[in-house]
Amino acid sequence: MIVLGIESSCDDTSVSVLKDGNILSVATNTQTVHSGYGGVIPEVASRAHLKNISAVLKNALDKAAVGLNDIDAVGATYGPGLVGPLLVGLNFAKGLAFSLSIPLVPVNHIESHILANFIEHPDIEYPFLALVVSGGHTELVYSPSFGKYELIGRTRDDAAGECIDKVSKMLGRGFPGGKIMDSLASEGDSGFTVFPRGMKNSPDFSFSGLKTAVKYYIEKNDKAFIDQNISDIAASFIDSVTDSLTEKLFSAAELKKPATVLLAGGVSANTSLRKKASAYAAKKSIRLCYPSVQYCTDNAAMTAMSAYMMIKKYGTDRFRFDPELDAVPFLRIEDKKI
Amino acid sequence: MYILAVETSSDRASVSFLKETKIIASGSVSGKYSHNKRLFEMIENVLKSACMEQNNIDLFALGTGPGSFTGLRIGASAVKGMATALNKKIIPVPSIDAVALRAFEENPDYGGSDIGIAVEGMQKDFFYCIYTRLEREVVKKSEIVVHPYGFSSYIDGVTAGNVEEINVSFKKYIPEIWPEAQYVGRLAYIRRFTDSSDDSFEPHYHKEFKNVRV
Repeated sequence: MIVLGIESSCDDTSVSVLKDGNILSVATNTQTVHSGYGGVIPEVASRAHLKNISAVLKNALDKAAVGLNDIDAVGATYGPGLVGPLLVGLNFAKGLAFSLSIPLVPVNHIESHILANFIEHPDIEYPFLALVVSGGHTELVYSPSFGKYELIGRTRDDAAGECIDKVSKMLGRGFPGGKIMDSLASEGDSGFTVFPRGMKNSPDFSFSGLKTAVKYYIEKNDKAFIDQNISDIAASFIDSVTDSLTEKLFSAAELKKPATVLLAGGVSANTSLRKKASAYAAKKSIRLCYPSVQYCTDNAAMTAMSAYMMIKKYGTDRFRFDPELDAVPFLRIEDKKI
Repeated sequence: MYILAVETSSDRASVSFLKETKIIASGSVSGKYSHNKRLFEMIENVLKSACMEQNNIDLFALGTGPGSFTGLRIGASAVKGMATALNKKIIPVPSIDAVALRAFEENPDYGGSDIGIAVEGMQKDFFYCIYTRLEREVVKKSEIVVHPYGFSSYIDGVTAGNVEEINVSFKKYIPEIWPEAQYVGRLAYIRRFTDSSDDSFEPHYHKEFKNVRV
């Protein structure tokens, strides 16, 4: 079975071809126009998705050496995400599925980040606990079995990745900040200074206080000092972010006793987060999985994989073309309709 | 030659199935925020009432605005998906051209003169352009400009369009002339040999996105 995945929930236009659970190709156009603004502008992103989506599809099909008539089903992200970008990918997918007369699987973006782990680790055991961290999401989710999700905690304000992006900008280091801050931090001393850890003793997360603390720190010290100690400051900041993330992950793990712990989303590529989670997993003899970097950030391979797993579980009849399928920008993981 | 035409630039979305320039079946819906949910249902119904299969479609015609950014993208991405799947060409037609054609057809008295076309701009403004009729075609005699609601002092002659009369005060105004898929389809047929767009084409947003750098 060949499944085509389409993902356009934010600023990446991505298409992937998957055959029987194996990724044949991924083609992604990452929009660079936003870097000058310090964040993703929805209208600009929507325009770029529509302009590029046909070429990205062609690229994915060529790389996989597959024709459109070989495709058995389409999977497309229908939420959560920015509504304009979602509508472009979803309607393009609807057009393809409608005209090829094949099923269309609506894919939850958060779930697809989690299921990205199955691309490289198809033997992951349930129940699992998943920490989904990206520029738009910070959620701690428990899954007793395929397709069932219980939300343990989520951010009350900024997403972890959003906070990292904004601090990167405050430090004059550019957008997106994930990679930049990670490489700075890995050269620095995380004990240089202490930034606060938000929402202690709660399953929920908070990162806006941390962001403000960094802002005051930058204002309090002169620029030469900041520049001189940039790696140490970045390391101390990242340490605070990953401490908050892992503290809640570990206490939920104590409580839920999952068979597997999963990291997912763009921030799961962070070195410090992976290190802390690995140390914990080794100590407790729990299996820890995270996707390779290419499947952490937004990509359509995870969308195709999710659609494939859903078809395998529920059959194609459940996904017969629904002309009314709509984008749901604030879709939650626990709201799955299938 | 069979043409499937789609027009989603305004609050009224429509789909038409044509044989060359002759309409075989049409459908429309109106309402804000409904195009995404209703478009494919409308396409299914139009094909059914035309007694046609998707394989019969030789060409897609698409209304490309200006108008609602989101509406335009819904139509464009859906049609791009369909045309890719069926390996057929899309002829993008500015929706304002379709409004002009409709205005001339419905008001033959003005056939010999120019008509100003005013199209709803969705942000308390409207797009305005002067057109003349040339045989089966409509030809722009000015650039498209964006005017705020109430603007009228420089516009003489007859104007037609879909801007609510309460928001405009033209010398002579023919209201309720909405862009419609059948006119988009007819212009696409006429323009099928001269169009040179590829699958990266974008709608005529006609408003550059401006953002203050922070």
